[in-house]
Amino acid sequence: MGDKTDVWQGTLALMVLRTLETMGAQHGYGLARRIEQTSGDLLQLNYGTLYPALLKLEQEGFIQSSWGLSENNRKAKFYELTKAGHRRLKKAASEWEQTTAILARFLTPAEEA
Amino acid sequence: MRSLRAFLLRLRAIFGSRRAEQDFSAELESHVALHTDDGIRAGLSAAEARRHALILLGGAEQTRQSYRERHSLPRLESLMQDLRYALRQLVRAPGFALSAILTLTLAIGANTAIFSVVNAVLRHPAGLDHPERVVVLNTRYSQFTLDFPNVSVPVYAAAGALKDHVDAAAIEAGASFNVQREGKTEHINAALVSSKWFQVYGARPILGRVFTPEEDRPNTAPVVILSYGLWQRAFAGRGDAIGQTMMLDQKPYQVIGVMRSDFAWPRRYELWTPIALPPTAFSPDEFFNENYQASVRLLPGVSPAQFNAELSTRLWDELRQGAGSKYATSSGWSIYTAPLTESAAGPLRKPLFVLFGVVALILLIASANVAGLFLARASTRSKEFAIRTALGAGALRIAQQLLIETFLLTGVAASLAVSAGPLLGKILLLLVPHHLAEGYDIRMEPAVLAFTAGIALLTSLIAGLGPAFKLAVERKQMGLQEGGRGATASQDKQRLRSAFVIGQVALSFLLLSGTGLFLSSLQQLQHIDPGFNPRGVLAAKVDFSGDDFRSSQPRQAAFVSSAVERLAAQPGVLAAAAIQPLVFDPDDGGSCSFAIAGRPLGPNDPGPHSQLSFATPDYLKVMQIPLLSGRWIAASDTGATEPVTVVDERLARKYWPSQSPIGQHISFGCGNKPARVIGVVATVRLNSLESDTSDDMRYYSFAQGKDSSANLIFRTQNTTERITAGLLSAIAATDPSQAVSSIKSLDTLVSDSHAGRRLIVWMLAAFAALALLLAMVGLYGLISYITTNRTNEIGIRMALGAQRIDVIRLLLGNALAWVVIGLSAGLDLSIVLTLLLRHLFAVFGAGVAVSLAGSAVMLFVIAAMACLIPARRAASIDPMKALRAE
Repeated sequence: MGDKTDVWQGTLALMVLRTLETMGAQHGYGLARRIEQTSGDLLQLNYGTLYPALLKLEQEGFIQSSWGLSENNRKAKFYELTKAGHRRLKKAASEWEQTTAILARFLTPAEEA
Repeated sequence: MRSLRAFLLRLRAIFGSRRAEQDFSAELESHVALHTDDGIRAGLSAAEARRHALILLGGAEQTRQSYRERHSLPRLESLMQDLRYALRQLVRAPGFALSAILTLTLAIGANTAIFSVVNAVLRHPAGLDHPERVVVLNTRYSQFTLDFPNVSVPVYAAAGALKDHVDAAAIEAGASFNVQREGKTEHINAALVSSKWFQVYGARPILGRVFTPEEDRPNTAPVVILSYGLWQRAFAGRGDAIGQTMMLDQKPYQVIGVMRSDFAWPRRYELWTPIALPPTAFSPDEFFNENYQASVRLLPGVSPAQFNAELSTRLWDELRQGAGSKYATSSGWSIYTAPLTESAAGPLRKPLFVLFGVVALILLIASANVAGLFLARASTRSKEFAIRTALGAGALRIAQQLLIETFLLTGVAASLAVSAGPLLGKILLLLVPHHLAEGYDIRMEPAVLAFTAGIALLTSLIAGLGPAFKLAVERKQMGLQEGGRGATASQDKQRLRSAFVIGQVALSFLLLSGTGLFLSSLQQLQHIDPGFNPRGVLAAKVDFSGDDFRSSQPRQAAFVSSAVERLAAQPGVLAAAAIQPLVFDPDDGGSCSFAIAGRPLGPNDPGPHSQLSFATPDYLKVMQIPLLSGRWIAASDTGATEPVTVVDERLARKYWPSQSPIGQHISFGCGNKPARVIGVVATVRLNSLESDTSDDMRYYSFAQGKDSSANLIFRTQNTTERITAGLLSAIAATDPSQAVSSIKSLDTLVSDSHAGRRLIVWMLAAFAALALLLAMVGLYGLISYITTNRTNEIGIRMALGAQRIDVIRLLLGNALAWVVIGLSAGLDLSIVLTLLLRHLFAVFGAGVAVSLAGSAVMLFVIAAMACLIPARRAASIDPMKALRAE
């Protein structure tokens, strides 16, 4: 487990939104697994922290939930993006890209020094 | 926006969290099941897969907790929990809750009641727009110790010309009209006003219009604006009243406007007509003829002091241009402004301030009482708090719990008080004589609500913070160990409670001695001799109706003398007379300058000044005023004979210090005709027992003057309804066209003149009784609490041979020491307050020693009784039982 990175606060919401966009409606467990897979198993997600994050997104109106059946016929609560969620994702993603781009300029070694 | 939405959802989630919890449990269940399925597929055993899933979840309970925290608002939720808990606590101890609520309701209710009156009378009389910007002009002659709310026309004109400071200025004079309706004569008080008058008061009509500047000119068509009440009476509230004609004193006036129902200003006036001053009224010669009331609405941001300074500069400039500055300087003349609310409230102002202070004391006493109750309860609940602390409650949480309980109690009390307060305020105004209270409308207003909410908050802080802080600090050593074995409570624990008791005793003493002081000052007032005997004298006012009657001196004289004759013939009537104006009648009174023959006046010197009245021959007999020298007005002094006058002793001394005025000539009334002085009578008080405000007096013969009304007065052996009926028929028989508008007893008029003082005494007595009751309850509670805590100790003492009396002495000694400390603190406060009040009230401060000593003894005895009951009970316990009690 040593090499695995904990999820930073705040980025989890973005990951959830992005995952829901690509996968469509998904239950909590599926989301957690998918986030881990997408990160190339580099992220160690404490599954328990996912639920308060989902609740917050739902309270803010970015996702909505409903009970349904999983692929192996278990009852599960499915989450999907709302319209506001789509907009939010687009905005957050571009903000994030900008932040990383700026940070990258600082962190890449200078060409001439 | 998004976070607001989330907040509202979380707020909603506080109620109905159970279902969400079940829902989340199901979701977690499905999460673990899905994960376990995956584990089994990967080759783990079912048990192992489930264990793995739970580990990765990070613990189901922790997850649930963090989910819960996000789901709703945990801090608020704990507040709601505490509130629910507090409610349960109070329901479980109904005796405690009821006594606390009752105490607080009484205190907050008293405050709300007084504030609602203060608000309506002093802060914001109904119907006026921004009353704080309206000021009334006053004239002062410091050399003559004269100070009155009237000014002359040139002064008013100067005030109105200060355009940088004044929004509007208006002048006003009182008048009255007789209105004939349905065969009856109705007498209506009216105000003659200038056109900007309504703008000054910020009053708008509901129908029609107000006066135009054109209507300020004399000889325009007569118009009238009606009050709402008169409109309802005379026109049944019909909209077509505008444009109709109304007969006032048998002259047609066109109705042009109707004012709103909440506007009745000046109070008790029912219609307004233009004052239409002639240009001569503005002449500089009129500078010192103060016959009008003037009021000014200042521009926003202009302070009365700024306006005063500017007006004074302008007036002195005008005086210097004319020739008046010399007289103004020698007489100490000046003009100053007073806020409208202050001058309008008049005699009600001081009593209201005193009562306001009194209810504040009551509030403090009640807060101390409730704090004491809480402390007593807290000690019985110490185990509960110890357990809560042991389970992890922080100091703040426990303090929060206690504060919430006080907030809950004061909240209930405040809502009860808000509904009862203004009603009590209305009742309070009913205790005040009509002429002072009429026209004030006490209502539930935002200001009253805000005030009540504010004092409720203050009360709960005073009552709750002490106990809450104490418990929060003490919670560590408190509780399980001390409460476990009933030792005598530590000194420290009693200190706060005894402080509350000392405070209560001191404040009650203050109220009690204050009551004593005002009571003795009232007695002092009642013993002041007004110079006449009001007992058994009735006065009936007749406002002459009919223009011809009003202008005919012989008709008035004939009517009055014949009415007096018929009255005197009534059985039970000892003597009858007529007088105008009547002493101690707040609606009446008149004064003017006069000249003394042979004493020329300097330029602009208005000459001597005094009050005057017109009387019939038996006036002295009815009033029992002694004649000092010469003779009184006789039936032979008629319109056909030489005008005569009788002066009072003070006027005689002032202008003829070394000789008799008899035979001298002074002005007849306010005119230029001379009248011969024929006698000197004793000086009487004219309108107040509190202070001698009378400004000398001249009496003239009723048969030689004319007026718009007359007071028929008569002394009776027994004032019965038979006499009243006889009086009405006597007047009706004299002249059916004239009617009595009001009958008053002179006794009532005199006692009404110190109604403010009486109001204070009554209210203070009621409040002092309340304070005494509260203090007693507080003391009783404290002693019972202490004795209960010391049951064990008392048992040991008695087992070792202490007698009952020793135990009682032990318990009483402590309590009475507190009482004595409280009394001495109260004594100091009382003395300071007496000195302050002496400045505020004339005839005040006699019997200080008696009322202080009396209150101290009374309070001490009552306190001793309140302590003795629980102490005796404690002393009669069986020592064996006491020792086994725990």
